Amino acid sequence: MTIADTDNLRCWLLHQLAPAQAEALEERLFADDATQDGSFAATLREAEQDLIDDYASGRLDATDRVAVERHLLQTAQDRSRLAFARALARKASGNVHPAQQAGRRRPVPAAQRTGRVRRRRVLIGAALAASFALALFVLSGILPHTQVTAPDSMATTAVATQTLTLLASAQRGANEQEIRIARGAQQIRLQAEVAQPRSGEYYELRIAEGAQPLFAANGLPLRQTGPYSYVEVTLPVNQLGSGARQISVQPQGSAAAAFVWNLRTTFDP
Amino acid sequence: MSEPAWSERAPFDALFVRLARDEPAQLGYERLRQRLIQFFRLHVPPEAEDLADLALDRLARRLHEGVEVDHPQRYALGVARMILLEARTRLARQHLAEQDPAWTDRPDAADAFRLEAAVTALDGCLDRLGERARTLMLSYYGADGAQRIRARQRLARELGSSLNALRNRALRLRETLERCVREQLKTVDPFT
Repeated sequence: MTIADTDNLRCWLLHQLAPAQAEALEERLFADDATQDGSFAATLREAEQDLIDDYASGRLDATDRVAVERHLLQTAQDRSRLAFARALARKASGNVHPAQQAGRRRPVPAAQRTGRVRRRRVLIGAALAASFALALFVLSGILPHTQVTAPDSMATTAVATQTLTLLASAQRGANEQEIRIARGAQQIRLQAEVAQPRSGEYYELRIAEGAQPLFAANGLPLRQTGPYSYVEVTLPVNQLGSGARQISVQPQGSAAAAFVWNLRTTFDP
Repeated sequence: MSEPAWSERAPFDALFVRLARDEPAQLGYERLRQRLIQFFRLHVPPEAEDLADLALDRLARRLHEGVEVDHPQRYALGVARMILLEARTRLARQHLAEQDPAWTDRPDAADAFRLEAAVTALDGCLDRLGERARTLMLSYYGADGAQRIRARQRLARELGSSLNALRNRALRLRETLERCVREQLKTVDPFT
């Protein structure tokens, strides 16, 4: 299979071929599958996977991104393949996790956690991830009308949402973490990890600037993704604002010390 | 008691008999089904498997009715194209959105928790398969763009394998890993 053949298959998968060319490939798919390189059907499957990998790694241009979303990411299984592709891209690239760059340890996989104190670190990675997501929206022409269907959001009109994810750490310290709010973001989807979750418990999340309260949410249920337990709120960016911010999470009505993150938020010009 | 002439089983018997002329019937059936799924995935992804089964059902009935089919795969393509036409007409009538309205590249896609959970799950699944599988997966799927084909050709040479054999091996390995990761994530993630 040559590079040109691969490009042809990619165009076919993205519905960018002329009808006659597409029909010829369809017939080839159903003909004897022995080609110079072997199975045509297997090559087609690989071309589809490579496209999804390229999408997951942000290597596609805007036109191809939209085509992949439209034709290759339609079903729940497709989306789970995308989640896999993103994880594989992270592993294959050998990208160092931001926390690792700061000399902190990554969370230990559950299978290795028995008998050990679970080490965590503060991670503020959402600015990059969210800016990336926002950039993707711009490139794909979806902004400013990105559909948001966050489970606890009552938004019925399309808004641009930036996700901010806070992981727990025993060493959160007093140093502020810089958070840049991307231009065009209208809401912040804030996910804060709960260090010692208790099932059935509800939580409070508060945002303050020093002694000045800015935002409070009560009755937050615990959510779970993989090994992470967290609570989630969505608020307008203007309510978060820019400056020094303390975000705290604690069990509702509990006198226990809150889990606190110190941030400094700024808006992208 | 003899089976009714039009039992459900009879058409598929006719299909298996026809396929068995060229190769083992079960293998031929499965390969044909996979091709039909790939065909329908190009056009109506959410219904690909159902439409593929419908195409096989119609092909089986034609054979059972006595239609002579020289090349079952090409005949299946013709049946599939007809079914596709019907599906498009039906979908146009239903005014279904061209894009699944539930799918957008939502902020979920950038959800650090989800990615971390998937990476952790992938680590565990790769551990279970062993170091050779891990190295193969990360090498085979590590390159991109124009380097991708050359990197895979080089890997095939290093492993003393044909590119085709290596491709099939990588595909099977990836499917195994995807299943493993999916199983680990779906028990805890409300969004998958």
